[in-house]
Amino acid sequence: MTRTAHVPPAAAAYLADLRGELGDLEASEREELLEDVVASLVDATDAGEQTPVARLGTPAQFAAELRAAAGLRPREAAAAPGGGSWARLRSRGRALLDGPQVRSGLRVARELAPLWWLARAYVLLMVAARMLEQDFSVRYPFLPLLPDATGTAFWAAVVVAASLAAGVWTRLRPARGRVATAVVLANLALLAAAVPVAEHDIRADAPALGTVRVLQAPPAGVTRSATSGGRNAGLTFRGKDLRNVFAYDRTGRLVPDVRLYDAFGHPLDIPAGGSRRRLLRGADGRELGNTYPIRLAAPGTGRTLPAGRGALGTRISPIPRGAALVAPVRSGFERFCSDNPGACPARP
Amino acid sequence: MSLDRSQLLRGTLDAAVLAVVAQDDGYGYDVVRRLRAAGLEDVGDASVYGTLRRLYRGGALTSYVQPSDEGPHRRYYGITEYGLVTLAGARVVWAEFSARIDQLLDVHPEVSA
Repeated sequence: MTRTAHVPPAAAAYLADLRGELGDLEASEREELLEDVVASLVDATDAGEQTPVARLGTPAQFAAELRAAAGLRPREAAAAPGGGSWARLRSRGRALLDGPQVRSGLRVARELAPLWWLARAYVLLMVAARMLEQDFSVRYPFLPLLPDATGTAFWAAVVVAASLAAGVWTRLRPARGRVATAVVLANLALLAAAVPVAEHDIRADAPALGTVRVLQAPPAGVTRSATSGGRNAGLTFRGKDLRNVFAYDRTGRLVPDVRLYDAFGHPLDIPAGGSRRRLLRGADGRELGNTYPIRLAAPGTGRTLPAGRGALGTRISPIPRGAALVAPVRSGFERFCSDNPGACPARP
Repeated sequence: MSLDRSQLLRGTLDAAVLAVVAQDDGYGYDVVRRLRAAGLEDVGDASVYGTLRRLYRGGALTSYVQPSDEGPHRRYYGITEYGLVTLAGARVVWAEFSARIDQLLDVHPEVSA
């Protein structure tokens, strides 16, 4: 074994890396090769020369040159003695990563790294907001509230600063070994976490279902009736209170925000849903309690949930064209005969 | 320049290392320093160590360990009989080869004229 007791720390670290690079060689061969390097490193340090890397190149470069000069197999070939498909794939992948396009692409990515650090901070904030079941801004649904705008600004500043600091830190002191693996894994986890975050943002960007639209003012007469009549006791069907009403058009599509009135212009209200009910307002600011289907807001978000299972659970088939039928009118005699089959003469 | 020094060095490093060790036994870094002192400043440490190991495995060099009180022990390389024969062969090849190249490149016009 190589004695490293007299080796200065920088040289010892270099030797350790080099030993790793030559890990596939037979132990005795490797250690004898390293003996030459140890002497070289010690002499160079004694003479006050440059750092090992500045003088000898990186351990990987040094090992490659050493192998070439010594007539040893390159590492990749050594790793695949039986032509293992995994090792071959790995060496091919490494060759691909060494390509000029990949290299320049990586360089650009490296220069743009601060953007990634910002994105990382955002994903972290979003993940935290979702895990803590925090709300999101109603106006800007892609912004979490932790727990309000001030808190969000504070935590955003903290996380962005931490992310930037971590980025700069790993730039200055590249992680090695297990730490490097942990860093890679953490970044992969963040990348995976970015998927639901992106999904959230894309959905938030779509026409907001919960946005309260301002409708045209109801006709003057209706407003008067509503004012005079106020809220009624609700709608009933076959003696049961209705909780909701779903209107479908001829093609079978659910029609949103249908406003129902009786023959006298009274709005047909259902007093249901409580404070979570999404209420539309007329141009005069008055709440319109007769719009259907009734929809509820998701707790704490101000965003409206879909119209519920109700009629949505069943398939409303479209009405075929020209299917309108006028029912044949039965005469009183015919009705009497069908109700009292024995009383009428049998037909031919 | 179309002539690459590192390429030339690669082809002649075996002979250069044998020649240095033939003068006097030496350990790896010592051989590197002597090559550089002889004018081959761009010779790489790793190339020399690799070459030493290959020549040693091939039987042109012998090696022994010299314990050291102050630093790590050093592995010295010395030339073997076989190494001397190899070096002599290399001298012949080089003399002949370099003469041909000299002629082609017209390095000594007064001789060839």
